[in-house]
Amino acid sequence: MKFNDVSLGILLMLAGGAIWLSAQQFSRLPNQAYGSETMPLALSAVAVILGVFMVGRSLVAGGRWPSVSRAEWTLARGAVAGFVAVIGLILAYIVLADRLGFLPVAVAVIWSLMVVMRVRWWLAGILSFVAALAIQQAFGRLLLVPLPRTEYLQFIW
Amino acid sequence: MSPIIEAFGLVFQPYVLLVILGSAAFGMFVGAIPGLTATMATALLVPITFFMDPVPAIAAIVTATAMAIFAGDIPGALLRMPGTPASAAYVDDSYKMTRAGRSGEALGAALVFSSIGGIFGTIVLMTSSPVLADIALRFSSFEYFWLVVLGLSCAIFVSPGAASRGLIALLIGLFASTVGIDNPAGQPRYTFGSVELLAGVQFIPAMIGLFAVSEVLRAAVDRTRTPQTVMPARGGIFGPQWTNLRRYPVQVLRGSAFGTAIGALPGAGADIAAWISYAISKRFSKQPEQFGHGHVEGLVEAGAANNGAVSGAWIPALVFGIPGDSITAIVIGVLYIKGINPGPTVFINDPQLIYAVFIVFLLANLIMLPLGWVAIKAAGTLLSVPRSVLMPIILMFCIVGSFAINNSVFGVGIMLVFGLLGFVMEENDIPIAPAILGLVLGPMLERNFITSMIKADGDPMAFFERPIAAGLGAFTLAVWCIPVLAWLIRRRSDAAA
Repeated sequence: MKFNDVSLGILLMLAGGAIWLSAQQFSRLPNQAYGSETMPLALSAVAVILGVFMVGRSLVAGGRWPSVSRAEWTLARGAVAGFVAVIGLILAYIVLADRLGFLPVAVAVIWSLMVVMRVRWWLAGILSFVAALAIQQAFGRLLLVPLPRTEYLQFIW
Repeated sequence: MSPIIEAFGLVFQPYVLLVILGSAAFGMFVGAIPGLTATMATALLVPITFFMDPVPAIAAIVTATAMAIFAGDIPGALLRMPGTPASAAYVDDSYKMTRAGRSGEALGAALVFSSIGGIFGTIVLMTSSPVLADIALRFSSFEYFWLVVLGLSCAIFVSPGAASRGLIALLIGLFASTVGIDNPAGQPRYTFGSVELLAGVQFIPAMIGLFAVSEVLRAAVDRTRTPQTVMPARGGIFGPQWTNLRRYPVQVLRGSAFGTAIGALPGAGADIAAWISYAISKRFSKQPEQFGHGHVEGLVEAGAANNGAVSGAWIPALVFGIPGDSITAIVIGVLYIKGINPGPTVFINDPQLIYAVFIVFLLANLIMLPLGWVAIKAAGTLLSVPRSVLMPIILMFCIVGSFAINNSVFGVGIMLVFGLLGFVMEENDIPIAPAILGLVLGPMLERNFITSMIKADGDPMAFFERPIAAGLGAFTLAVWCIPVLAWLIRRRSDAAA
């Protein structure tokens, strides 16, 4: 997604407004004019000023209206699938790692992304298993990171 | 025991030396893969350094960074694909030298002059930082406020692209730094009821997301890359460098000096140093027409500059706690995690740590010569690892690294959010470095501003009452005003024409 200057400026003004509103709930230090709200208020002011500047400059220069265009990469075959796959695989790890254990989920994540990136499935299978096992041994055994584990794969720890 | 002897004892241990060797190989590998930057090498190393003592942790980062910056020259020379942005300035020259059968000379020049630049920068770091730290001890919140504002301003103006986009990145970083309970009134801000967010946005998962996950996303959507044939390195590597050194001594010195100075400027890193030094080299060269056509002169000067900048960036980081580039921003985060607050007091409280950093820098730049030689010889194998194999493994490293910081998948979630943010930012030409600086320096900016305002009883003129604060304030205002004045003058002259 690509935003032009006018769209970015409008987004900044909206974000500035939202920060300003949210900052109203924060309190000041006792007997002082400053406190938790000072920084968010300052940021909201800068965001609004920058937004106004970007919109104004862009309209004066070319009179362009807000636009959000599709990035060029989205037109390439399989690119969107690759993008979604990375996000989906990270989410899958977050959801499944505790239930299934680190190793099977790690193998599945690496294998899936390799296949999406056009590595042959059998080669991806070997590489993903070796890589996941190496990461598990390095972090889980050497550095003692408590990676999620399950009963049925207890022997590798 | 003298701190220097203690520092030698800290560094010359089998474990630390092994860490240096391992991280050198790692930095060499990451730097040599096109698209993977020195910052990414640092980001991937951080979860491992989390389990180390401060000295080996710093040694790992320093060595990997120095190696990665040099190794970026290898694919640049052999494939015309710079491994890191710092190698992009002279890629045409090095590649054309390769095509002319002089790849050994091109890569040897990159190696030897990178090492010289790095050692020069280290000497400047060793001599200037204790003096500056002495001065910094007298700084109050006013001076620190201006230093932070100056650092953030430089980060905006030296970032590639429009300053307005750099400012957007900075606002993102500063806003992220407001999350949590660590603020003047100790009130939870933007935590949405999450206990994990009370401690603020976890810096390391955020940084892994911004630099590494965004790169994995880019690799996943990039369907245009085709494998290229690697041309093996030919010709002598070290032999021709003696001739180059005798022919271009001024360029070597100038590149090293400018690189170190530019590196010390908050927000400017090795890539900017390389571009500026290449331009200077061409401007003062007797053969400017040869630049871009396989001429070694620019490579010598810019190669020295980019590694000089790596050392230079540590000057403001160690002395003031203000990062010189994204890598030192990460290092400051690592030091905070280890309970060390970078700044002038480190020179008093932990002088052995500072001397250890100096020794590590010297070692890293010396070890670069033999390891670089091996890397050049093994370049064919290094470059044959396809990104489609590497990126999924890197993604898993990112996940485990983000998890390892707090042993919680919450860190993985932070990594994902910042990965998407980094991807969208780069899609829209919004630089990432100011966001990282904002995230690191946000709390320092807020603390020093509030403290100063309370001290001054709300009088803004107090920010200019102390001489150094006034000087820093005037300089900061000039950084903001000069581009605006230049723009107004340009507009007026355009209108007159």
